[in-house]
Amino acid sequence: MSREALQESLSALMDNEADELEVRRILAAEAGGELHASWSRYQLARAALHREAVLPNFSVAAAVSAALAHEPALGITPAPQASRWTSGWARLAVAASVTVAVLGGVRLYNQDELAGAQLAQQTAPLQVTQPQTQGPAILAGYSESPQLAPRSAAAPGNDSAWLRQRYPHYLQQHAQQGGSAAADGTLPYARGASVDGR
Amino acid sequence: MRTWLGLLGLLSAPLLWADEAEDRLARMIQAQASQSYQGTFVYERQGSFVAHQLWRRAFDGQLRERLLQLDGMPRESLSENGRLLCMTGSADELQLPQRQQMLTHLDAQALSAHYQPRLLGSNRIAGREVEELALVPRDPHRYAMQLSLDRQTGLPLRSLLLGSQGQLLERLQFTEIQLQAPADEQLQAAADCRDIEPLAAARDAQVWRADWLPPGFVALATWRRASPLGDQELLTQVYGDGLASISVFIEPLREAQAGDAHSQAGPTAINSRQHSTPQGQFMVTVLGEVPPATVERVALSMRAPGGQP
Repeated sequence: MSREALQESLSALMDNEADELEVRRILAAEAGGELHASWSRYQLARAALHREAVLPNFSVAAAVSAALAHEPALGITPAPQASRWTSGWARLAVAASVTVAVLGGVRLYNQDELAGAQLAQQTAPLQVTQPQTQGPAILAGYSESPQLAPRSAAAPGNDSAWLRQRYPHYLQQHAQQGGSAAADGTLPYARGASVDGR
Repeated sequence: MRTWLGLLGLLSAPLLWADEAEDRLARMIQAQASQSYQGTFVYERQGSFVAHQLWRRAFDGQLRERLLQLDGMPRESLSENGRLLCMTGSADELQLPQRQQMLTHLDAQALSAHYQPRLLGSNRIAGREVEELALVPRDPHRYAMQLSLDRQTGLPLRSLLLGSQGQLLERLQFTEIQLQAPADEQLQAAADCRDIEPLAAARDAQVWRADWLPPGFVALATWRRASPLGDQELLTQVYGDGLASISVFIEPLREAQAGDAHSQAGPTAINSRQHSTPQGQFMVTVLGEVPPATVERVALSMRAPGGQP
């Protein structure tokens, strides 16, 4: 198997377009390490694009294998009676479930990561930067739109569209009515503008 | 001379040090009420970096201020004595509550009950000599703030909001400032600046209340208005400790489906909780420039009027 073909398969998997053969190919080659490194890089790039917490050492094999374990009849022992039509759909389903498993794994980890960071924030001793040692590190990844999508906490499958519609209004009003002793009118105005500036 | 005084302050007893820091704080609050200036500043937070221009005239106890966004949409706002007169380019908000002046009038001593003021030394911002003042929270329920105060006037030329590990959450920083008062024409907004109708505060006792608030946070005002997204009533409350503020929004859910959620918009943490009351289902959303755990705790502690504690 050529490296180029493997890389293509990997991109296809990232783009949600891998067929079953490509998924198998990646699984077989995963132990090699080089592909794993590429996968990690792709995940990093995707995380940066979406401003998600980064998970560099995530292995594709575990998530993919777990997803395939629920599809025992497919691929390993091809069902002889399956028509072209059904096998086509089944293939799509496998590819889709694999991608969901991979991305789902990242998402879950991120939530743990964030929760951990918040916990750490609560307990860690506070440090204020000295002016000479300029500003502390800023999280990279700027985009034009504010990150407003509510992350569902508990109830699975709830529809957060109701909240997503309201958050910009809430933020705008909060900025206006708030204010602070430091930079009294300026800070609320700038905060409001940054919510609005989409 | 001042540098030596600063050095002396660093070496002397922390008590004297705190007194001096409190003085700076008081001077800053005074300067904001009495100093005219015009200049350009940038506002930065995760996902946003925008430049703005500001004109502010303090004359005869009257404060008039115009702000104009220089990047992207030419958003503009005009205010008088802290009350918003008009706004352009904004969404659909033509009715907004008045900014809570109490936050800006809180004295330095009250503020230092929950933040430890600390002088950090000298720096230079927008070509001017500044003194760095840190306000370090005394508990984990709020964030730290670092202010760069102009030596000559006491005006804050930079303010940084810092997380518990010193990570930068928000920055407002002047790049250029002049101390002369702006002319009349500079305090005129564009023709499309839409008038803002101030929202009257609700005075009835039959409102929701928070069973838990971080120490030092007090209820500042309550408003009732029609929700911008429907005919139901939106109840808003604002709480503050003089530096940070927390807003609570309460809306009946009716038949709408929405679960608990939390989010983060730059430095602002948001937490939504569904509350069941005898009057039906309500969505309570708490937001503020405080750690996510603080808004979550406030959201969980909200009680409906007449509800069980």
